[in-house]
Amino acid sequence: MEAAYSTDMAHDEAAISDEEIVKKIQRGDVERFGVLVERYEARLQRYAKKFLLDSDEAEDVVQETFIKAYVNIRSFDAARKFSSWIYRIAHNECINAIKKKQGKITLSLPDFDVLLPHVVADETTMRDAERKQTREALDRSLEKMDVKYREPLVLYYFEELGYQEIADVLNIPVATVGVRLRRGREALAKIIEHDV
Amino acid sequence: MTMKNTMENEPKKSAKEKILSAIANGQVTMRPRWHFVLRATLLALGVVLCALAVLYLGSFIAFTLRQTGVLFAPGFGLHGWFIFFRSLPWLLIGVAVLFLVVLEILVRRYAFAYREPLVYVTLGIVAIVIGGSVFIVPLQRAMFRATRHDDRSFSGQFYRAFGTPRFPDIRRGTVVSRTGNTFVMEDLGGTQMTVVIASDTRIAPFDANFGPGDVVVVFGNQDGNIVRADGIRIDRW
Repeated sequence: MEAAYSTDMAHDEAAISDEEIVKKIQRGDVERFGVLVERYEARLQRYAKKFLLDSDEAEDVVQETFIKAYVNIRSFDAARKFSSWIYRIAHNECINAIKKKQGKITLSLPDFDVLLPHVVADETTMRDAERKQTREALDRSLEKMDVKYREPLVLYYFEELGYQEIADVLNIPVATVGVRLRRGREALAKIIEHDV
Repeated sequence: MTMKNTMENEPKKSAKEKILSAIANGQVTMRPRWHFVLRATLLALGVVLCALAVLYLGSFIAFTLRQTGVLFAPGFGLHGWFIFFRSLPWLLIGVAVLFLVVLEILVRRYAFAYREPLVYVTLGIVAIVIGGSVFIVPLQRAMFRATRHDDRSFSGQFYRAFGTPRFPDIRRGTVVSRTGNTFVMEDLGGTQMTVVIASDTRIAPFDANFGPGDVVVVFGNQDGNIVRADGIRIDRW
């Protein structure tokens, strides 16, 4: 199935939302899945590379993500955001890859910051320059960051997801996203200070 | 999903080509809709069953604490608290907590649950269980009355094991007769005992009067058929 799209078809598809495309795939138009792969491959590659810090592993994870997304596409509710859904699958695959690497089964207990309520932080509208600066600092210091804070920072600064979307990807309360981003920025500042 | 292994000897393809090729070859197929409907149904069923189990156990624990008189023990000072904690049905509480944990895990698969802090969801479940249990306790009492004489059924044995007197220093029974500072009471098993009210015996509610036909819970040590009451609680249940 080599998806050879005509120019007209390509234009049409560019205008269609992810959710609409998924509806078509669910109805049997499986070729459209290629459009979703085109749209998300680079993004998921970037996300997985920055999360796992390993390019080869990231490639495998992204392939598995798309496979699982296709296999389970009929479970997707088109009333929700497709991007959150596929990033959620990618997140799970990354976690599985990390656990496989560590070679042990760990009992994951709820994090303390998920247990208790927090004041919901406003999503700060960062200036572009500030965001770019943070992204560059993050790029240099990713491997030194705790996975717990690395992931929300990657999702926010590189994938440009909002708090609600990050909450859906990580299955945590929205307020906890704000807490982890704040703590992640603090940890990043300490790393930078230490390096200087 | 062994796409990687089968692709090893082929010329290097892009990820998109690999994925679409696997779909075209039938190596990966979509799960049918009924699979997800079944999964959602099983999840909902699991939540309902766990919730019912927690409700039943919660109400049964509340019933058994009242039926045996353990519920009133803390009203009689530090010793009463000691009796209370020692007499709690820990096995039942452990099983109820286990079901509660499973219920929490299942409920957190729903967006309305994981979007809120865990403590809110837990408190919500506990509030529903406590509220529901209050309504179900009379049903437990009816079940106890209906089955406690049934030696053959599991429910009869279960209700008898937890609902009848089983603690040496707490007794619940009906006053048969009263004379001054002593009265005779009969427990559920039909055993009669004489209870002596001493000058330091605490009676709750304070200064309440009681007589034949009233149900009382007596705390105190027993010597033969005589109980020296440390505390007496009139139960108007």
